[in-house]
Formats: sequence, structure tokens, C-alpha cells
Amino acid sequence: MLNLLMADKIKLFRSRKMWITLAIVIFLPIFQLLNSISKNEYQGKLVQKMDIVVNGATGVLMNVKANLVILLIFCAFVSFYIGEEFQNGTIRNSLSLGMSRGKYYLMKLLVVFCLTLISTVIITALSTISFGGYFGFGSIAGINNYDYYFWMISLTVFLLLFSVISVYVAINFMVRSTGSGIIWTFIFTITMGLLPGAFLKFDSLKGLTWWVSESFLFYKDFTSQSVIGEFPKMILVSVVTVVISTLIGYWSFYKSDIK
Amino acid sequence: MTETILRVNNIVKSYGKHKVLDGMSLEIKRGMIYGLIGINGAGKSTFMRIIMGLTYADSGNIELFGASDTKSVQEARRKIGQSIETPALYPELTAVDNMKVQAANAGVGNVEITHLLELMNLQDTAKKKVKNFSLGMRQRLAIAVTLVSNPEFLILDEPTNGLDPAGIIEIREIIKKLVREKGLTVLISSHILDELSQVATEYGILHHGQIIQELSKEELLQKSQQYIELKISDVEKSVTILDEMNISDYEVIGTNEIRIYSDLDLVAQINRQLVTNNIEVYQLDTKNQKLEDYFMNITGGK
Repeated sequence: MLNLLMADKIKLFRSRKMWITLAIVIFLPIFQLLNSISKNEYQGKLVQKMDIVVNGATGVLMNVKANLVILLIFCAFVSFYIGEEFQNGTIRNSLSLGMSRGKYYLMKLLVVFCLTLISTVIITALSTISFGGYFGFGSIAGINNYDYYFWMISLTVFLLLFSVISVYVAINFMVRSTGSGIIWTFIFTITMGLLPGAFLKFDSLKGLTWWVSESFLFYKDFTSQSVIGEFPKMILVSVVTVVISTLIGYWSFYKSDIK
Repeated sequence: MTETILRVNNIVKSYGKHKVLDGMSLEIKRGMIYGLIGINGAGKSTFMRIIMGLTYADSGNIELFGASDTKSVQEARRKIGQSIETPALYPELTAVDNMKVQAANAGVGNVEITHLLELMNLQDTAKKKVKNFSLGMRQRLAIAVTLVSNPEFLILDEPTNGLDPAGIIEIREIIKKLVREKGLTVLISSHILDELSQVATEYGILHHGQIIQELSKEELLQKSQQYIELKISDVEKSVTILDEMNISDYEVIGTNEIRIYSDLDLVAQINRQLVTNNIEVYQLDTKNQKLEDYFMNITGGK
């Protein structure tokens, strides 16, 4: 597996997709800062409930505020990263050396995990620094133990994002082409964003709403103090999503013929 | 006794109701260049993908380097290099980077890369990305990439597909050189028997999912032997005359043609005997049987 990781390191460092992803991730907090400055100057003072990130302390919430953009970036990245291996036929080079499909799948998932982690760290760090620099560090209303809140929200939001991205990995191992990967991951993102709203309309389906990672990302108010109590459930939902999506993705990959 | 590199027995593979491989069996020994020939869709690529573990057989046994259980066969695949169908390369990377990726995959160092690029005549590609390579260059690089892991057994699926005559000759020479210098065993497929005949030492003809005939190079050469083509007015009478002349290696084709595969130096006597016996000779010619004709005859192809 270490061999595969070394090979992927060469591929990623030499190709543009990882650098483009990281460039967008770096640009994202800067763009949000400029947008917030503009709003603050011309449309009235920022309100935490609405704008989510209003100072350095709330910078940790940038991954929540920009979650759809982050997910769409990873829709594209994962589809290119995995889809190209199938389209170029290069997956044959790894598998024909006796590498098991399980290890191959886990290696890809691990790389995506690392890049998601790096991205969320960059976004959090840049947002905290840039918003802190302009608006002051400040505080979050109702949060007394900021350190605990910071680490818990960083971990939870990262896991929620990664759980959705792990589904993208599974989808790409199922469809095995870049174009289809982009389309299906996009459809999945939008559907899972809208579906919980529909669930709420039916009493029998209401319970399902909060078993979808995206429900927390899109609809939960992370600025309220009460959200802290829901972190364990969010972590559980994320882990369950990663495990189930990985099992489905791997099973589909294991059964498939590699062209 | 020469070591068996690959032995497959009764491999069956179906896609839906269509049986692509229907009890295919073959054996490849060390040092062979085994040419697998079959029309498009005969199952050549499917067979190769099964050997490489890229697709699964419905039934049958694979023995690779003496290993036959699933785990050992998977391990043994480390000794194989493959280029199946299109060259599997990263278009955004250079030739050297493609080689480095495969070296990392195989867990071997980069020391052989320069030598292999020279061997494939790709040493001057520098920073040129693979997406800008010609098809011939990509085919050569794909072979170089397979060699970076020091394989003992090379599987090449139609490596000359789409190449111009110069490219075909180049690939052919490279394969011969690899066998000569590195002692590789090669399984190579093509749908063109003439092309394979210039590189392979053993041949298997794959048709309707089965190996319907296996030949050595010598046997194949016999099949492409010279013959006398006779077009005459009376086949029955001509056959009697040939028998009287003790010529027995002949074949009657249709109603007015005979092919004689022996006694090629007796053309003048045959002609004289036929004319003397009032048989009209429309054509008398010495020809070579085309391998393609031979292939089409035994596969019953159109």
C-alpha cells in the first residue's frame, strides 16, 4: 500500500488537479473575506446568525459556511482523480502487479481523506487569520469554552465533509469514468441536500433526516450553543456514512471488470 | 524440462448469455513467444484480462509460475508485465514520470528508467508530456513501463494496433530484442496472423472462445509453403494423372483447381502429362499460401 501511496504522490504532485484544488481552497477564505468586507461596508454590519463567519473566532465555521463550494470542488477533484485511472487504463498497471482491489480502494480513500483534512485546515487557518486581522478575533455568543468548541467543531465538520466525499469516492468506483463521476456526484450532492427537506414533510420519514450528513451541513445552526450536544450524533452519522459508502463502493469495484 | 509459466484449463467467461471464453486451455513454457490469434471479439483481451486479474473467470483453473490458488496467483502476478488494449499511461506526465509511477507501484528503484527509455528509443522526449506523443511512441512507452518492474512474463495485447508499417517493425524488433536480451516469455495477441508469424515461436488460434489449433513456428511455415496452382478443365482425370506420377500431397479446390504442395520442380512434367492426356491447362503457377487464407480457412471466416 505504501508503494501505491508513493506512486500517487508522484502523480498528484506532477499533475494539475491537486494544485488547482488547493488553489481554490486557498482562494475561498480570501474571497469570503472580501465579500464580507464589502457587505459590512455597504449593506450594514455582519450578523453571526446570517453571515456565520464575522470575526476571527468564527473563522472555524468557514467550512460550514462554504460547505457546498467545498463539496463541489471535491466532486470535481475525486471524479478526475479516480475516473482518470479507469479512463486512461492506468488502474491496470497497479492491479496487474498483484495489488488487491481492497488496498487500492483504501489507498484512494486515504489520499482523499488527507486532501480533505489539509483543505479544511487551510480554510480554517486562513479564515481565522484573515477575519481576525480585519474584524478582530472577538468571540462567539454563548460559547464559554472556546478551545473545546474549536476542536470539536473542526473535527465534526471535517468528518461530515469527509463522509460526503467518501460517497463521491464510492460513486466514482461504481461509474468508473470522469464525466459520469462528475454528473453523479453532483446529482448526489444536490439530491441529498434537498431530500431531507422532503423527509420532514412526512412523519414516517422525519427520523431519516438527521441520518444524512448533508442535513447537518446545510441546515444545522452551528452558531448556537445547543449544537455542541449534537456533535456525537454528527460524528456517528459521519462514520456510519463512511463505512457504508466504502463497503458499497468496494463491493462494486470488486465485482467489476477492469477494461 | 522447461518450466511452465502459464497453464490454463477450461476457462469459461460469459457476459450475459454470450460466452466469450468457452473452455479455453493453453500452456506457455519459459522462453516462448506465444502468439494468440483470433478475429476481433474472439476473446483475446478477455483472456488476457483474466490472467492479469482484471476480470474474473466463471470457471476454470489458472496456474501461474506454478501457483494455482487465488492468493498465490495474485502474488505471482508481480512477475508479469502487461500492456492490454490501449497504452495505459498518464497523459499529463512525461515519459520519465510515467516510468517513476510504475516503479513506485512495483516498489523498485528508478535505476533502470534511463536504460529502458534508451531501449525503446525514447531517451530524447525530455519534458514532453505523453499526451503529445505519437501512437507509436505511446506503445513503446507502454512496453517500457511494463518492463520497469523487471517482469519475467510479458503480456502484450495487439501492441501494433494502429501503427504504421515502420512502427510495426519497430515494435516487432523490440519484442525480439527483449526476449533475446532479457530472456522474457511473451504472450502476444493479434488478429493478423502474418504479423504474428514474424515474431512468435508458438501459435494458438482462438475461435469461439476455444483454442482450436496450436502450432509451432515450423508447422506454421509449412502451412505457408509454396504450392503449384493448377487450373484445369477436368479435375478427376488430372487427379488420376497426378497419382500415376506418384504425387500425393495435393488438394482439390472447387471444380477446376488443384493445389500441389510437393514436387514443385516437376511443373514442366505435370504440364506435359496433362496436355498429353487432353486436359486443358488454363493456369499453372507456383504460389505461396497466404497465412491469412490459412487462418480464414480454419476459422471458417468470411
